[in-house]
Amino acid sequence: MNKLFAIAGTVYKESLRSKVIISLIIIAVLIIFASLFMSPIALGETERIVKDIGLSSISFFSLLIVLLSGTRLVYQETEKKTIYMIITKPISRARILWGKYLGLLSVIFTIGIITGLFLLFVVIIAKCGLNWNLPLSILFIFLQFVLLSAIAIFFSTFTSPVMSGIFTIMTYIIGFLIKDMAFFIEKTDIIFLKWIIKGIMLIVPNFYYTDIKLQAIHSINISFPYIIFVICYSLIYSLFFMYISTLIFEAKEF
Amino acid sequence: MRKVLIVIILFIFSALLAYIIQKQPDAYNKPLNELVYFPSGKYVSQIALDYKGLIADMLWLQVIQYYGQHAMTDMQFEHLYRLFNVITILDKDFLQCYVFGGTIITYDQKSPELGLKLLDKGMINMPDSWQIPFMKGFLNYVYLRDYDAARIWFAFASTKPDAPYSCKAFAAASMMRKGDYITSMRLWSNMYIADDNKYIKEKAVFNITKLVEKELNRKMQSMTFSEFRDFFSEEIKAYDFLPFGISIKLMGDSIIVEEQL
Repeated sequence: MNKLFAIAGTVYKESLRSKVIISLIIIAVLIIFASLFMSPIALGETERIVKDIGLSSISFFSLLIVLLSGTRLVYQETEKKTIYMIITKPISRARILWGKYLGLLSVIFTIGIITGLFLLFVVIIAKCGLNWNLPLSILFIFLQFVLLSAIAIFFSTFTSPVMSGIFTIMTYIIGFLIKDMAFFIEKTDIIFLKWIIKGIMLIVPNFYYTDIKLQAIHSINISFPYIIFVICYSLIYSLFFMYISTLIFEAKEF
Repeated sequence: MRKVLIVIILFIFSALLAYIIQKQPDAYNKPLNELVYFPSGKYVSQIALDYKGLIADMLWLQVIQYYGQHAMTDMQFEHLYRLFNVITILDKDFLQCYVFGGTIITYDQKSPELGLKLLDKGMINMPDSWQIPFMKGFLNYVYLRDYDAARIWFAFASTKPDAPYSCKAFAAASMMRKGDYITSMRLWSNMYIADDNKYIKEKAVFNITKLVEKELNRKMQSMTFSEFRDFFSEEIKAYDFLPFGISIKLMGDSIIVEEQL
């Protein structure tokens, strides 16, 4: 277990030393702060603009970090040839991969905490209504990236960082279009196309479930069973992708 | 140090240039293609992915600019319905969009059918909101002067959760008094108090002062001066509910009413 956390700690330290990631955090904080000055032109909609910009910034910058960092995690070890040093140590390949995954999650979690707390601070300064939906929405964004990080690591086990980035972003986009795909299946008469789309819908996770930003802004109550469902959905999908990634990584020859 | 100095000089130069360009007359008269980058409603929801709320907000700010720009220049608002329609596709619960949109599409675009269509869409998307049927009653009362329809919509608004007592009061007023100007003033005052939107507040002030002005001038023409003086001293008491002060001046043979600043 200590070895797992040692690898996670290394990923965490490396990522937070990266100038790109530090810059992204600073930009996210600045954007959230800038939303405070929108009130003169918002015509009474300051509250929704502050919350919307804040939540969208957390989501967007977490996405960038997954794409920039998550897709390179495995590849950079091979590129720098440090993988030879790691795999000769008494640690299983599964632990190496899980260590990297946990390291990436801890980076996203830290960024979520920093930007999330800053958003709550800005919401209080702007005298906007504060309710449980806001932290819940931040939690759901984190769950979204728990899942997307697993997908990024899955692709990075067998492709280059660029291709892994493209595949990850495509999965993310398709994940948001699943609802519309269901509508398309109803409309099309081509059986072959129906089967392909149904197949995609079954494999690709539905990211739409994790998006409750609008509910947070409009203070619409989220039921407890729905929260449990989304937590289980994200974690089960993440475990599935990490399990496949482990299988690929264990079979890989360096 | 030299590099930092160059960046600062470039920044000041850019800011100056932007200021000069913005002060040009052309900057005030936007070209006809001002909405060329405004998305069509068809696929905007799919393209927005995780950022529907954010895009709705950006479009909301663009609509405010569009409205403000044209309100200050040519008073041409032919795209208002399209703009509000796209925003409400992205965020179905954007209450202010229906209420403010319905009002200005009716009043400024002068398309009550489109204004009411937007409110109908709002009632479908937000069935628990009292504000949208109230606005429909309001527009029927003050703009279309269809008091039966107004009564129905005010009564409908009063059945919604958290509906204020004023919904029932205005439903009764629509039934009993058939369009007296005091009820219209009360409706506009209601809008003035309930809304943070400065455009709605300006519109409320404008319409209230015009209503008082029109009514007092009409009475003055039909009465002797002493009769009018008695009528006025009684009538002025009925304006106590106004959320802002008004000044009433006699200029020659007509009365001018303005907001008291």
